[in-house]
Amino acid sequence: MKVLYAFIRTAFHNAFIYRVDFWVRLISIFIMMYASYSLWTILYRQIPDAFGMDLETMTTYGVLGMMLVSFVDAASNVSYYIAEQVRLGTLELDLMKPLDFIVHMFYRNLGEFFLLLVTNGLPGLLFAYLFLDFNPPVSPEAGVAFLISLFLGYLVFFGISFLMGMLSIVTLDIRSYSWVFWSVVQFASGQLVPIWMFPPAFATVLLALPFKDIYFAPMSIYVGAQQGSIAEILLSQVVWAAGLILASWLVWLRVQKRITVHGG
Amino acid sequence: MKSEPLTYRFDSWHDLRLYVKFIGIAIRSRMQYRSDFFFGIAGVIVLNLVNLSLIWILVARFQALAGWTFWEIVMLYGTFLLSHSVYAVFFWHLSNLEDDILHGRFDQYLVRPCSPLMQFLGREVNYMGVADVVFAVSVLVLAYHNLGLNWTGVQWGFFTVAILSGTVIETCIVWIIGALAFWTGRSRAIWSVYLRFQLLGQQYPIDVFGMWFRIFITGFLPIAFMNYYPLTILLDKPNALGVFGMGFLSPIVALLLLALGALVWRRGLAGYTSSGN
Repeated sequence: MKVLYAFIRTAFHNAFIYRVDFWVRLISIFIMMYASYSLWTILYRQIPDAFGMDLETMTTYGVLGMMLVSFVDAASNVSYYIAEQVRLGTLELDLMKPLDFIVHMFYRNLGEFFLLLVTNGLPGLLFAYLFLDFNPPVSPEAGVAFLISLFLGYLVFFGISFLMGMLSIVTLDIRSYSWVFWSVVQFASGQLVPIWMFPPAFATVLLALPFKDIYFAPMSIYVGAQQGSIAEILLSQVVWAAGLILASWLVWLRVQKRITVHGG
Repeated sequence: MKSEPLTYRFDSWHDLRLYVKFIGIAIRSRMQYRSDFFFGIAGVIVLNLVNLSLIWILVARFQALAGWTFWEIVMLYGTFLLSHSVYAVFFWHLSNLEDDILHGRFDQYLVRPCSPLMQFLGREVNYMGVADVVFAVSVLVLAYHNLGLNWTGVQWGFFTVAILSGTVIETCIVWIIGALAFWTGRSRAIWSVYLRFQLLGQQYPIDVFGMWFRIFITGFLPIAFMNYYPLTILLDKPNALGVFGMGFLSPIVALLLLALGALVWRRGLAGYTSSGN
């Protein structure tokens, strides 16, 4: 816990050095939330109550997606971080630290997650309540389930991102593909367009993949449009999170051996 | 204005010749990595298919997006992508400028007798842009036929100008953002924020966003001039601001950005102090 605290403090410290960065991020989050809000408002003017969902539920979903991406996306930094260390050849410095590599990556990333949650997520939430007709969770239970689901979603994302980072050690320079990765996550996770709008065949495929657990699971619980019971969704998230992190660990053990051989 | 930090004298002809040479070297060094090439192409195709399917899903559900049909939006997307592809081949690494500044690697460009900008630009080419060209041309051809368009020579001329303006606009925006690192030390966050706006501007007619957003990507971050405004003229549609002839301003916006970019770059370079080692 002390180590985690140290990482969180470092993340905050770094953030305050680059103040321009901070303001640009914050303002852009407001603009993106507003863009999403107006997108659904204008589309709903064409077909009111599409999919049995009223306008406010839909804009809440859209705005929530933009707000969440501002801090949950911290998880994708793991893959960039690893790729950058590989490119610069400084990964061994991380290996020398007296902390298991995955645990180190996790703490470092969790620090960023909390930082962005406080500096981006909370101001975003305030902005949404004040200006964008943002609904509270459908029920208090849904609110609690949402928070749990959100964190589980972050864990799933961390696992996927860590595996991407491993890919950069084994084969290629993933920095050029980060944008592809980001788009696929945005598409398959329902962060922009909810999965219930996808054609049924598409939706079936997406619901079988782990990406939906990142954004769609918590967001659909929040607006009360989840597919199936809340318990089932949380269980699916736990299973995927555990599976992906276990896979990360196994892959890391193999990769680590390879690095030692090259080391010399 | 501070004095030039170097003895190097600007000579555009000399610099341009060296630039061409650098690019030749960059292409040859890129050819060394075949598997990277195929992954790159696959990546571009996946990225664009994902984007287009998202549009298709929305249009299928809501018939049209603020009066824009599916093929019109594909046209919007393809126009953006074609502009973007030229940028992607030659200028993509402008987005990594921050790394060089932050890690003190920028110094190497200052000690050689050639414009730092030319050295930086000539260092890399990005073949993924080639896949962008192929994809963009294919979707544009499809959209052109499905919309039953029949453009005159003048319209094609305007389209070409719009594409080139688009390239200049995108390049300059990324260039300016990158050069901000001369002062702030970091510009990656701003760049990734820009990418998100760009993605929205590429995929959606800006009519689907509220007025504030439209003004933002017209006046502040002028990506709407890359594809949206020129196409409102070519497809004969009303534009979201309701001002006639906005599309004709694209080349002017491009030139203004170029001038602004040059100014920011010179200022940044003059005040540059190495982050050291």
